[in-house]
Amino acid sequence: MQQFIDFIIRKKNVLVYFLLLSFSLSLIFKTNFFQNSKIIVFSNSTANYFNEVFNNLNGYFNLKRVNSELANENLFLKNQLENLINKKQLDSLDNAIFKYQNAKVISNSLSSFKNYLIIDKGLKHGLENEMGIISSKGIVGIINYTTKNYSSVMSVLNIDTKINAKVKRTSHFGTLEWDGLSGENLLLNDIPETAEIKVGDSIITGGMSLIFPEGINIGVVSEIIKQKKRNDTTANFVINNQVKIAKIQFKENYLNIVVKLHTDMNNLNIVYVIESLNKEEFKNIKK
Amino acid sequence: MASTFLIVFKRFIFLILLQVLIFNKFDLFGIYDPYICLVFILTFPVKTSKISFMVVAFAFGFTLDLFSNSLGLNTTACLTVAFLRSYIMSFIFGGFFDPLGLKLIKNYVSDSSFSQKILYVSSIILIHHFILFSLEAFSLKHVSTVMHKTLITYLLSGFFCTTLIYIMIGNEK
Repeated sequence: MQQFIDFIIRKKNVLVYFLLLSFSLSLIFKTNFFQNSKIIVFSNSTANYFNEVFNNLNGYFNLKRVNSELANENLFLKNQLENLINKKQLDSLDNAIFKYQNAKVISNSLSSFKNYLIIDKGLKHGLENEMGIISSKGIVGIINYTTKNYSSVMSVLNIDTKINAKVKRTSHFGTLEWDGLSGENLLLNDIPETAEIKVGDSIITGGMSLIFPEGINIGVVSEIIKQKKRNDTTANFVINNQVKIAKIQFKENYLNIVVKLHTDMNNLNIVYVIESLNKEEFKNIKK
Repeated sequence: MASTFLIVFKRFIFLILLQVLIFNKFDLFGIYDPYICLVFILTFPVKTSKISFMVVAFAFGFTLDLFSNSLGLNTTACLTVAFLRSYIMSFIFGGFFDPLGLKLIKNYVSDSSFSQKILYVSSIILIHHFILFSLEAFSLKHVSTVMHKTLITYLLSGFFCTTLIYIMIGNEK
């Protein structure tokens, strides 16, 4: 017993270290798996408050830029509306599938591998998980957690984000991912080599889910990297009543496409939340 | 003792504000931020006991996490660096290091050689960044990305931390 107590006194630094370490590691895993633990809610609400105050001050310096951006967007939308009215009369029976809401970004991280934005609308305004967020120039992210007044948005600059996208000119579908090393480029994978992609092609959302409607701008192709991927499959052959297993190799070449984002993730201020009105129906049919 | 407490408390507030309000929005090339908060660990008074140092570093990391929406990451990294600091110091400064803490950080800055200073700052920053980024990515798939980012952020943090230490140390008592 005496020796045990001696041991504890001798090793007290190490013991305290491991005690604190286990506590901090449990914090990390709680954040990853149980988003609604009490600590998170508390930390989010305090930090959000400070961020909002600071952002309000900071916002004045951006007013000029935001104003001109909004005016440009207004002009673009007005032109579109004009075309639409000329083409056909607006019909109120034509049901809209998506509804838009605006929100303000109050904090925006860029420097980690899993970047999140916080926006100033939450459950109170009808926001839910898995709603898409876009800016006036292109996509921004997907809502992953909401509280009463705030929502956290998984940015496209997050190594876990996977977004369905297609090349506008050739209609080839692929998956958009982030490699974690550049603030303005994403990677578009899974596009076969036979697709004739050129530098400068536009990339838009694919519309395979109800998060983003089809045809929202993402970016332009800035570089094409060829990548060889070897697929190994096994096949069974029956020779002389004996089953033999053979390995078949076939090569399939895919392109890794570097996409330069339209959205400037450094300067986000006003964003739009996309709410799908047919979500329930879509879920029911998917069951 | 009271003055040590006051110095630590002042640095705590000052460095958290500096990191959260200015350096977290630095964003070189879009995504690289220097971690100037490490100055807190690098210049923590040597004469305080190791347990209180670890508890304070834990609180420091936790406060930092509250503001950057990354609960636990900075806490783990700061705590581990605080735990390892005495070993690193005795390894690098050798006989010059005294665990009783009669020497101030000022003495270490003025009396050690250039390579010792560089080694001390680099080893602490590299260990901190490596732990932080690998916990953040948390998969073997991204090992090369983690290394890449650790190196670039290390260069940034190293430059800013060294500069700030030289500014601060002039008026240490």
